[in-house]
Amino acid sequence: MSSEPIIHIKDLLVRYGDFTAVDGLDLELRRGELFGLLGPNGAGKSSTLRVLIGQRRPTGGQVQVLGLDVVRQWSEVKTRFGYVPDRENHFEEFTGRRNLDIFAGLYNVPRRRIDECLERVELTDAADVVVRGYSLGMRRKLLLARALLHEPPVLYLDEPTANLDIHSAAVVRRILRELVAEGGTVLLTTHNMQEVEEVCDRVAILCRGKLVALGTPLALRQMHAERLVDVILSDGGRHVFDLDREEQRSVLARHVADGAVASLQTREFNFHEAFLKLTGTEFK
Amino acid sequence: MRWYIVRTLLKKEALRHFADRGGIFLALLLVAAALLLSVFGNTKGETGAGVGVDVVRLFYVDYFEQGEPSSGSMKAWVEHLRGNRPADFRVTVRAGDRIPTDATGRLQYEQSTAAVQLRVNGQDAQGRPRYQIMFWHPGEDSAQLAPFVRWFWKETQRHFQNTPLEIEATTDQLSFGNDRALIEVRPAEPDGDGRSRFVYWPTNGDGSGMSAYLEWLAKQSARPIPPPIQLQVTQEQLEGRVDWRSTIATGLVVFAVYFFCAYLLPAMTCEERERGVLLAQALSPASTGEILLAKFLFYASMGIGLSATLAGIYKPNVLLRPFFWLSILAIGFGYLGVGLTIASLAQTQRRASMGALCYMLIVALFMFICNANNIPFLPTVALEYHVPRLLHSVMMDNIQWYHWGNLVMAGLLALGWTTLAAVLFRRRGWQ
Repeated sequence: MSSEPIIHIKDLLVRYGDFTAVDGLDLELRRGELFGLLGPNGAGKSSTLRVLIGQRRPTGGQVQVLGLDVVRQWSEVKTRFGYVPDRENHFEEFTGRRNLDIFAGLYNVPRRRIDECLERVELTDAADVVVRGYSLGMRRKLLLARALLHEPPVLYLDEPTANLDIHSAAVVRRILRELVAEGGTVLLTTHNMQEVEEVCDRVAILCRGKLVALGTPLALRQMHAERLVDVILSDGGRHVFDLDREEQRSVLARHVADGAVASLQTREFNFHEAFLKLTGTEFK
Repeated sequence: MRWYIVRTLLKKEALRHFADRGGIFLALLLVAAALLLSVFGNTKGETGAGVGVDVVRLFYVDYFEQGEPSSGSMKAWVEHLRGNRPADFRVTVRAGDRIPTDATGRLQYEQSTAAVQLRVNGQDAQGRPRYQIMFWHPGEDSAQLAPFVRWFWKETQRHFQNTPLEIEATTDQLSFGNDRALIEVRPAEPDGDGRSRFVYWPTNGDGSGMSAYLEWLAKQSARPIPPPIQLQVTQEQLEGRVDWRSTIATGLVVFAVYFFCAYLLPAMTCEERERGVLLAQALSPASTGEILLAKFLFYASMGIGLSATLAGIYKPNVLLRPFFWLSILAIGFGYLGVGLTIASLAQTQRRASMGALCYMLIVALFMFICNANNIPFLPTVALEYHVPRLLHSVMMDNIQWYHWGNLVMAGLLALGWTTLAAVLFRRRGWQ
């Protein structure tokens, strides 16, 4: 993975009247990185994304994409990213192919890209079906195809796999990994913890507009894993041992040596728990 | 401005209408209506008699000073009438050269108006002007003139209060109170036109008309009183009726522009916003200007094209008149401004449709209130004040100098609406 910064967010401040949605956010996304933005409702994810797609002027701070300021150089920035919104926005009365054809015309890309994108998201067979007849999964895949038409170096996705069946979600994740492998930069917001762990290279957790954690999913797992062991002894006694405490480790070792342990189970890292610890709130 | 983007957006608009053919179907209906209008009822004189009732809503006092000697009193008389207009109905006083005429120079009165024309018709023995008073009423029912005639004579008497009037008229063309002295001095001849000669003698309301008149006759030679002013009175029916065909044709043309520019444009734009595709376009390389230009070009072309088709079907030669094209351009861009303003304010397709209908209703109410209360000038701030005047004048081949004023005003209003629309759309158009 290259360390070249593609998205640079510095001291971002977004206010709606008296309400501060994003409060001094600093982030750097690198080339070839799949970055997850997590947070409960009202954490500031959507506001951050709205600034990145030019639909909200930051109250303060600076946001650069590929070295271009999203406010001052918006017309140059907008051709360099693709966006998959959380709500599908197609021309319902057109076929999937015609939908892509219109955007291919706006991006001035060759028409062969339409077929390539349809094939990539596995919609070739449904290309000439009117979107009104598409399933939810097909609609979301068509959004992704549209976002990929102009081969953007940066891709923003808002809940890309929400409400998708297992196969479609797997297709989307595969495509995202391929894009990253090709040197693209992907920023996604999601509520799907498993998805974060599976596909994201790094994760930022926002809460009440502030960045509360930043790192790889593994680092977060290590940092916030609960190193507890549930033990049932031969006499039926139940105990929980904290492996971070020396005296409890010794007691557990003695039980194991004595053959007094009937059952032993480590507690797995729980992203929900970690999130709760970090943000002080349930993940919704 | 990148043409490939504008072309793509234009293609998108066209494809949307082909995919959902409601707009095309209505356009075809309008064309069918224009064809029917041009084929049927095109015989001269068959202009829908009996379709409507002419209710007089405006009375004109039109005066012609030609032939008036310097000693004449028409100016003072007219000023008296102007300064004493009734409160309960509308009277407009104007010089004869301000009356619109058709191509042959014939005086034109709008629908639902009546008039009295004051002319000088020679001179009396003293060299003073002899006045001709002609009442004109629309339709066959002259009774509608009654309040106007009453007011006219009342104020005329007041003006000539110290001067006797000698009036040649039929009795039903006069309207004098019972306390006034109106003496028939020469009955109508049986084989004549039924007009008698009357003398009105101002009696200051004491009701002693005849005796006062006799007394005046007795003293006429002894006292230096002014000889009567001679008035000739006639009452005529205005020729012609409302040309319903051209009125309907004008309506179709206006509706075509309104439908595409002020109804379909906001409805389709708000539908795009509601679905999020407007945002998708905004996030593409297309700029606000290009998106607006494509919308303006498409809906203006469709509205103006359909209007021209309808007008051309009804009366092909209007298409050769630059005034028609200037008018239709001003109207088209005015309604585009209205449409885009609605599109910027309304968030959803339903609200946009309701907004377009409410706009029409609000304008209709505004015009009605202004008209009912004789509020001058204010209606001219509405595009709809100028639109029918412009198109009707073209359809009737009767373009007057003041229609150019309507055109300039419509152009300014179109500019105002378009500017407002562009500002609003930039601020809140996408979401």
